[in-house]
Amino acid sequence: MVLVIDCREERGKKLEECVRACGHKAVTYGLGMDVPGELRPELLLLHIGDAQVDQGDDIAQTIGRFGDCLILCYRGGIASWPAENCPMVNVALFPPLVPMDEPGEDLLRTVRQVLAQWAQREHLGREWFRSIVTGFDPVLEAKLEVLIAALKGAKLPEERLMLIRSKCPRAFTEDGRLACDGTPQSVARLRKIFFNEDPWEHSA
Amino acid sequence: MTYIALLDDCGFQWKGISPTPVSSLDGASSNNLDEWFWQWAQKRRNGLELQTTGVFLIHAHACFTRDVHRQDMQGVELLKHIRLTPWLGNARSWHAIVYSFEPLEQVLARKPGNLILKSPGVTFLRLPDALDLESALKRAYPAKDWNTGGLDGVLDDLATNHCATPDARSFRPYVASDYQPPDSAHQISNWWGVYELRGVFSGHEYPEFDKPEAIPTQILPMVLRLDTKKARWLEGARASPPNRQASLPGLFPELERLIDTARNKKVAYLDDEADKGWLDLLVNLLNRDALDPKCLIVRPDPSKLQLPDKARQPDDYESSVKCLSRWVANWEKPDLLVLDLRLLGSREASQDPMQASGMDLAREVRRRNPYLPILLFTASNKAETLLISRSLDVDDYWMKPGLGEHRGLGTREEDLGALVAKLGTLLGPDYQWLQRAAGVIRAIEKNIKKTKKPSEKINKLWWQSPYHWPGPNGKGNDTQQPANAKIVSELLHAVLYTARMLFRFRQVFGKPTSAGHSPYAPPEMAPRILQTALFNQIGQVVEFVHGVSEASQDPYGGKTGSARIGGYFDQSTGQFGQFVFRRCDWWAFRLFALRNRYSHAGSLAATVNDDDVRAAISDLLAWLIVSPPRGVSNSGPYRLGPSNNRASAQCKGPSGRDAESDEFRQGLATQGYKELVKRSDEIQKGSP
Repeated sequence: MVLVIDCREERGKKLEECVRACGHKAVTYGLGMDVPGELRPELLLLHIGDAQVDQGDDIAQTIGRFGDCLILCYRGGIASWPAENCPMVNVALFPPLVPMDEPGEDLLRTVRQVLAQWAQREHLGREWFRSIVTGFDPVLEAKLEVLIAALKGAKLPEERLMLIRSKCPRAFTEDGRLACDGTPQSVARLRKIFFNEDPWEHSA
Repeated sequence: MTYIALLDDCGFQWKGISPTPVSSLDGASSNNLDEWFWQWAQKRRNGLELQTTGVFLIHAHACFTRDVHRQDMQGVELLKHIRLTPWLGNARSWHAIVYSFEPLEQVLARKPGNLILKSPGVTFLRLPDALDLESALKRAYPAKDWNTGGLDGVLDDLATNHCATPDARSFRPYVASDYQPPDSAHQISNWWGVYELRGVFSGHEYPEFDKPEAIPTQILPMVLRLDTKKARWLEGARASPPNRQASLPGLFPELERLIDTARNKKVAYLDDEADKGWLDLLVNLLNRDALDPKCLIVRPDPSKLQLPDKARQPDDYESSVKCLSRWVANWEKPDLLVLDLRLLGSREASQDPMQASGMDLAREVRRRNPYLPILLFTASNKAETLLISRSLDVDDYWMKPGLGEHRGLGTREEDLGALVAKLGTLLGPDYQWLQRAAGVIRAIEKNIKKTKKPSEKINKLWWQSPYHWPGPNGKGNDTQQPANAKIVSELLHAVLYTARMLFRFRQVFGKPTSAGHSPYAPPEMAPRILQTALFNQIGQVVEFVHGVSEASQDPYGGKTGSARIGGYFDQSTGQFGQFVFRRCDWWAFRLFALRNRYSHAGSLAATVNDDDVRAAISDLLAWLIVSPPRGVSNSGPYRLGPSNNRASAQCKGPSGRDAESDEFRQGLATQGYKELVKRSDEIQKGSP
């Protein structure tokens, strides 16, 4: 059984639907709802953003209470609890921020990846859960998808472009468009900017 | 023209070539790369493309399955699958051109396992330059002479001269770079063992490829995992016999014998992993036709196997173990119990093996039925677990072969052979006889209980009432007082328990062979000490029933008390002495003679075999149960002489030795044997 604790009810429900679609039971506890004491989840999807604490939740206490299960932490803004430093091998923090009213495709995909290995979890090493959840780099993913789309001449994924814009401003023209016309040469230039390969481009 | 297998889902425009992409469409229904690869390779097994030479063109950031990120580098993971999948044939060593947007240094820094990109047989190219393959390859290999043949020439050279060597020892770093030994050996052995033994049954080294239906569906995903392939390559590769098919016929006669032995027997099987293929395996081992089983395998209700946590709910745990032991010993009464060491699975993986749930249950079953053969299955080869093999709580143990450090020592065929041999022994004559003998003791005990009621006095055994033996030399009566039945019963249990220890001892250390004992053989004296104890206990029963002892004196002739059982030579009357007849219980006399032969310190050189042990105990039980004829006298039917059929028959044990055997004569222990026979014949004829 998967337990979702999220003060944003809509986001929690979408996570619950994702879990159910993978063939697992799920239950969501949102704002002002007390989680029954007898609940024994195997996976906990826990929002640890400051909004959760503002609603009166004690994250450390929740993690301690469900210490036997795997806990996937995520946040939409500032984390109210330092999950990334947690020594417990069953606790993992999803690195990117998630949107306010929905979990976002990356978090859903990560949850699906975890659940896909669920039946075999007893046979996997201790780190399998953490490596799936914490290993994700949203900026790298955005760069790769943008480069592939540019080389194929496909539509550029807007949400990915937004992530790159602040990291690689030189990849964009003054009017905010990606500086790439789809030719191999322009894609090669873009690649050099993304991966800091051209000293001139980088220093400029 | 070199065959190119393109593994990419992006549909890039290539310059000069137009390879057909192998996209994620093949595995659209799957979100598991291991399964995707297996399906992909199977589809191409019968095609020619993977049988000849060729080149793989792999996009490192390709997505072949659902729910995957580009940065997961499924292309590289796929390359690892290709290299570590032996059943792929030649294709596993094809040259691979891997292309990526990321620089190689960054790719290597991000994931140690990506080191495979530096292995022989791999060319790493950057996008978008890689799409002009000829130019990119010429830049990658500047020292080569590429002037002839164009791109085809380049690819042909790669396909023939730059192949990978995934079987070479030098390939090890590329496999080991991100290998993490699985931390739950218990779990792995529980499915890997089924996989390996199924492979022996199906006659295929890689049944997942050649005969996937032979592998239980629950364990197939585990076999297909990349981690499993790494473990198999690094630590689990088992030596197969040089001629695999030739080794199987040697195993099959043993299997046939086991099936015959198991016919009409009942085996109780308690294992939390039974449904993962072990039950099917046992059914197939013990029956010629699994659909028409002649050997019944019974299992408890699965809910009974859900034992509570031992530390948190000790009382509930204890009652559950007792409930299970009752089911085995009192309800099902099987011929053999096959028991898993850790019924709580990984929940008790760190538990001391001697305190594991399987051992708790074994002890409880032993308490209820001390002689039920128990075969323990373990999934661990740790030294502390091996100690269980020395424990008398179980009769034998067999290690489920695992991966890595838990792999079996020999071939898979040897593992299966060992299991067949152990099942055959525990279902075989020694242990089945032990159970029957225990049944006789139970019958004696039942009889003892019944005799508490005055109305059932008729059921008393002969030694529970006063018995009148002939007096010295057949004159008058020598009355034997009733023996305490409870003490006799306890002495009999001691005899049987020692016999079990002796069987177990031989099983653990191996029976002596023509080449000597097994390398683990203890000092030769050790089994003889057990044998000494056993025959001493037999003598104790005889003495106790007759109410005599070696420490006491025969009130008639001044001999030891034990001399009253049959008779003795009075050496004051000549060289060999005259034989003085006492109670003339020749059956007991013979048992006591065996005791003298095998239990005296000076006789330690004489070794008994399992037949001797069985024969002696069977004789003892028969002597206790069968009443001697009333009015026995030294001239009656109990007269001594090898020619006397009745006496011979009584002295015969199951081993078929008759009263004239050397051992019997020596058992009577005397140079005056002939005198004895002569004297008995005289008595028979009525001469003085």
